[in-house]
Amino acid sequence: MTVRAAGFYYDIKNFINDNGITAAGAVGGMGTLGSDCLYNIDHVKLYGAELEAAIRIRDTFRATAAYVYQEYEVDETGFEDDRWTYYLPELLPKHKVKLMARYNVWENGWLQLNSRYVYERKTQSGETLDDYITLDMGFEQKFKFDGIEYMAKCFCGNITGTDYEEISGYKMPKYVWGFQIGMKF
Amino acid sequence: MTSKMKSRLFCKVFFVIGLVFTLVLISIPCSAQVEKQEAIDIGTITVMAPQPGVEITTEKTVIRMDEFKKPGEVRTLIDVLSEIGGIDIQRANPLMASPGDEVSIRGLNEGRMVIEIDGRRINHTGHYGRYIVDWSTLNMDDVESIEIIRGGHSVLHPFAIGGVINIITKKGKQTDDPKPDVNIKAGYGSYDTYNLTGSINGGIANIVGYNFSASKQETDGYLKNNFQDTESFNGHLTFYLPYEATLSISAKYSDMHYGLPVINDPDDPVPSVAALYDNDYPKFRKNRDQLRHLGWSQLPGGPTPEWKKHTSYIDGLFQVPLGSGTAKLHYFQTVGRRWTSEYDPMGNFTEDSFVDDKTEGIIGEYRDIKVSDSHSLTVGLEYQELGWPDENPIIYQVKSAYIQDVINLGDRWTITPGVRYYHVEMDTYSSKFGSGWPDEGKEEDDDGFYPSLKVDFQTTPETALYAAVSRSYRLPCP
Repeated sequence: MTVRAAGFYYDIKNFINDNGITAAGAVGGMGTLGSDCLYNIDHVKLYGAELEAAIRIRDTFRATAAYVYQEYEVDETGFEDDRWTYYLPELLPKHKVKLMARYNVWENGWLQLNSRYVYERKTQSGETLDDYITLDMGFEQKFKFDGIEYMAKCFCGNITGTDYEEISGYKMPKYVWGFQIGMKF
Repeated sequence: MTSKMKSRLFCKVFFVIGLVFTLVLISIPCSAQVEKQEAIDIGTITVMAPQPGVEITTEKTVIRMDEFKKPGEVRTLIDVLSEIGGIDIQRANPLMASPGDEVSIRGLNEGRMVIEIDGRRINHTGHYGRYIVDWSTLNMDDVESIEIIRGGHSVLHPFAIGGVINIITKKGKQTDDPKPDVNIKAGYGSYDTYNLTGSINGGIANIVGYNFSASKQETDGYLKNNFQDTESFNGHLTFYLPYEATLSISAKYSDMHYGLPVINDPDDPVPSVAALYDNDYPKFRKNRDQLRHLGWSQLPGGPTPEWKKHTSYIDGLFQVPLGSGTAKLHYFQTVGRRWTSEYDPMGNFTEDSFVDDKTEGIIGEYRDIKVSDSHSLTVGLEYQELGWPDENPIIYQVKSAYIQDVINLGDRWTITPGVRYYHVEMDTYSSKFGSGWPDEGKEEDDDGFYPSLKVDFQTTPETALYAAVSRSYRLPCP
């Protein structure tokens, strides 16, 4: 098993905050375009930690887990009460976990599994989006025939049918499936 | 989501994970123990190889595309980045990388990190609509590997604060075997999403290497009017010259057609919009969060709101071993045009209004010069012009110079000091908001030195500790 750990700290002077140049226009029409959509913040601080662990059991199983914690602080600007003032870091989760695993079921046949946990985060209008967990699964088989290498793969994203929003305002799909075939010579 | 729903979700996820782990455990003989993964020891560098095709060092994460696997297709850069720890991706939809996607490292998005192809920056200025990088145009057809550097500690890459994502392309191979490697893939999936990719990689008489690829991806889309059709073509030629010199000429082109999702909400306050609700598609509310590059809410029922985008990347790269190091001269150009047909916030439809982007520059670098047994020096000069052809061709003119020394102190300590100097001339474009708003741009110069220091300590062959501190600069774009 191997582990990588890192901490980070940013102190950014004169941070140009981008509220989305179209946001104000979306609310009030062209007459309000440009109102505090881009403005200066004297100081923004970002800090956090990253942890990555990998495990390999023989040649048949490999897995990686990555955890990230991130936090931010901003100086007050006077725009805080505006409905359309938001900071990108607050739209991102404070806690996030990604898992990747591969299992060699038989010769050149790999079961693949990915999972993500995303902690709650703010929307641009200041509401809170729920946390969620998704799981993707796939299987890939390679084989050779007559000197040509073939590949067939099938997969299903969000196999548990999780009801979640990645961007506020609409739900992401359930059970996104697909298959792929390929040849190499 | 209620706590009951969360509990059920947890149960489902852990049931599936548990099932997979049970299968794994059953297949392992009882005497098997967890094997300690052997780190690949290259001098004093510890490499972590958590997944086939993914290597992690204290400096960067490298993803080798021929080996990288995930449950799903790997068609664009977004498909890869979504699996890498420490990278946040807010996807407009999970079917295909779209112009609305937002990518961040350590809370800083594409405006504060660098996206590169073969070491040259492809970020645009962000003029007229925050357009900096269109992730949908960065396909993986001709990509050999991707390097991810977290943080802004490398002076070799300009304007890196959040980090660097560097795409290394396939440029052919030096061989006298006339038979090329041919790779063909096709896929189909939910929402009538399909793709077809072909590539050919080879060489001629040890003199010329080549790599050509083409792909097409199409989807009906998950949201209403959110279709997408992307075609791309890539070509790379490498000439192997005397004195081990190489000259690579590359061109990448992508053509993207994207439907802007329209409101689909039976509770919309406008009755005529609410009446057009189609329950074949998910609800898409007017006050949803803004998607990057995609503006205010679009209306159903009328003309088709859409975005079209052409992007060309052209590169000429000459490299030659010189003394103890390698000299490089790299000319690059990115040209793009985006057409938008959409409703403005007042509900008026405009068709095919377009904006151009152009970035052009040259990099001269002399790298890995062995000054002594313990010093490896890299020096470079870079010139870039970024702008809006015909309107304001040079919004930013960037001149920079950099030097980095890698100092090995014994077998365990490595110190990497560096500094980059920037001189930036800015000529911002005038606003387009009409009367009552400023109609003149602003000219301004800025310059300064931005140092970086990284210290690595190899405690054991398996364990490396490092610390880095740096001061970075970015163009004042969105």
